[in-house]
Amino acid sequence: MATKENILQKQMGNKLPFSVPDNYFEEFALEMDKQIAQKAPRKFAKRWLYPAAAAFIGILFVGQVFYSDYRKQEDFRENYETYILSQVGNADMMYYYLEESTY
Amino acid sequence: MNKTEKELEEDLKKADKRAKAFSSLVRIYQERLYWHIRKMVLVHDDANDVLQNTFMKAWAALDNFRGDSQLSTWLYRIATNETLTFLANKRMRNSLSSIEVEDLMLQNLKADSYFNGDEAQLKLQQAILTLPEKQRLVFNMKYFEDITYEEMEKALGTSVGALKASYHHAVKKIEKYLEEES
Repeated sequence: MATKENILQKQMGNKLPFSVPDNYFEEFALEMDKQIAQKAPRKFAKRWLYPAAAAFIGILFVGQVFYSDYRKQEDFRENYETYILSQVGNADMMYYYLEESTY
Repeated sequence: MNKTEKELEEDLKKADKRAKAFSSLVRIYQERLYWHIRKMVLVHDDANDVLQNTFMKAWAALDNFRGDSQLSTWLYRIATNETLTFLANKRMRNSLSSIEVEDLMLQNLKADSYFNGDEAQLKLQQAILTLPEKQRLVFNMKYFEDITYEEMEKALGTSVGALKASYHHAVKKIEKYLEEES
């Protein structure tokens, strides 16, 4: 016995009354390739990412070494001046300034 | 799941092979998804927009695809959601009721140069447009594509029993509409 669904299909058929432009699917696939290429992470970016990060860390490290060396020298210079001044008495300092002003 | 789909799934997980695998995926599924969408939105330009959105959403969500379902089922689900969202947006953008949207869709269908149906086929599309969106989805999948209820259950997340009932009611409504119109 024919079902209602079969009767409808017999009467109307089930062929879709739609079409698409010529070469639509080929062109659609190519367009999607383009859009995905824009969204996908670029290979060169990935290839250079790790070396670039390593170089940056290297520069930071070398800079830190130089800076700490410079700071050590600065600290030594300041400490040396303080030491020298502590070894000179007030009378010597007065004598030094008076002698300077006479020239 | 056939071997090709499994291999494709594996390639989609690898960052260096992903774009190429996705390109193959588009070529395999674009036609099936296009017709699935076209039957709902009717006009070619709208189907083209929704299909593009579907693949872009799929590309963005690839990391969320765990392989629990088949790729085709996953893509059907995305396409269905995109189609329903498109129709809802169309209704909101034009501040139209569902009946007015159906009228607008029918007018657009008549004007679409890629509609090549006769008077009877136009009547059938008109009858299908009277169905609620989800029922229309079920009717189209069964009537035009003859997709099994089990496949539809996976794609739409509705039980087989409910799908059968929905399709049966849809057929009855369409027949009644066609009888009244003739």
